[in-house]
Amino acid sequence: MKLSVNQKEYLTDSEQLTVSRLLNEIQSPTAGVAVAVNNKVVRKVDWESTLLADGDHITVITAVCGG
Amino acid sequence: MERYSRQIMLPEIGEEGQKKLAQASVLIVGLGGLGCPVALYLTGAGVGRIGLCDNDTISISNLQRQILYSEETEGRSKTTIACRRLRELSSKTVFDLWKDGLTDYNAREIISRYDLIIDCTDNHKTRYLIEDTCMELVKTWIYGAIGNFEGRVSTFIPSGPRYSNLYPDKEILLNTPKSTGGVIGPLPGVIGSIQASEAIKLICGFGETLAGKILAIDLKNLQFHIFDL
Repeated sequence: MKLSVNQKEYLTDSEQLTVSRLLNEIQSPTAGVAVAVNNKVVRKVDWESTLLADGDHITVITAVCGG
Repeated sequence: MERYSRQIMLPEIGEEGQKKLAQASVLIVGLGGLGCPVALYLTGAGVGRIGLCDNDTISISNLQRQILYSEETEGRSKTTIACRRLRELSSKTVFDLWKDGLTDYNAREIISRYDLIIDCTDNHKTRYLIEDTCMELVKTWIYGAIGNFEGRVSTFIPSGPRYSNLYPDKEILLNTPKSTGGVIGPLPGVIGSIQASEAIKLICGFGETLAGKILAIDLKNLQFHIFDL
């Protein structure tokens, strides 16, 4: 399956890949981040149940806090 | 009104929009990198009443990006110096100075006095406090945050998705120290300018806003993305 993760191509053999499993696979922090799939933010409560499909664009949006 | 002629000539603003700006009150929470351009542009635009809320003093490392201050103002209160500079720009604008910053004790009282709240703060605690208080008082707030080369902007309206839907890990983020990481000077200029533009559109009532959306900018790779919330 070919995905785009943070604007970079990402190839994976994982089946039934959810947002949660992807974050784990790419060793992303899971606290203090939001995740968008194809320009829509997926709420954290839905990460376990949201399956990714070939061609999906995933963006990890960290909670920057400076002002 | 000559000073506002270049925006009044825009049909989206006009005399009517200018009147709305003059009648509007806006609270700027945080007078750092974001708060400086927000305050300058909203004062310039003719917002009638502006609350300046910050408990900090000016340090030399602020000058790289906090465009209201100068070398001779080092050590002075940000609200005092910001107000002095903004009055030079517009002597008729009413400025309220909130020198204690926004705290659990004063948030309700301060926020209740304004139509619109602009989040220019540098820490998660104050940001969640703004969200909670705005929810309680049914106020719209414009979120802005920066770090390194990245910035975020969104407009949270009472009936829309919440900031804590986006970032539910409140307890973890509250234990993250206040931001002292790197940042390039133009980044708060870009983000703060977009926040000021959102404020002008909300007050005058035109255009597309970032309500229900988040804008994420990465100046290093020059990426601009808008995501639905």
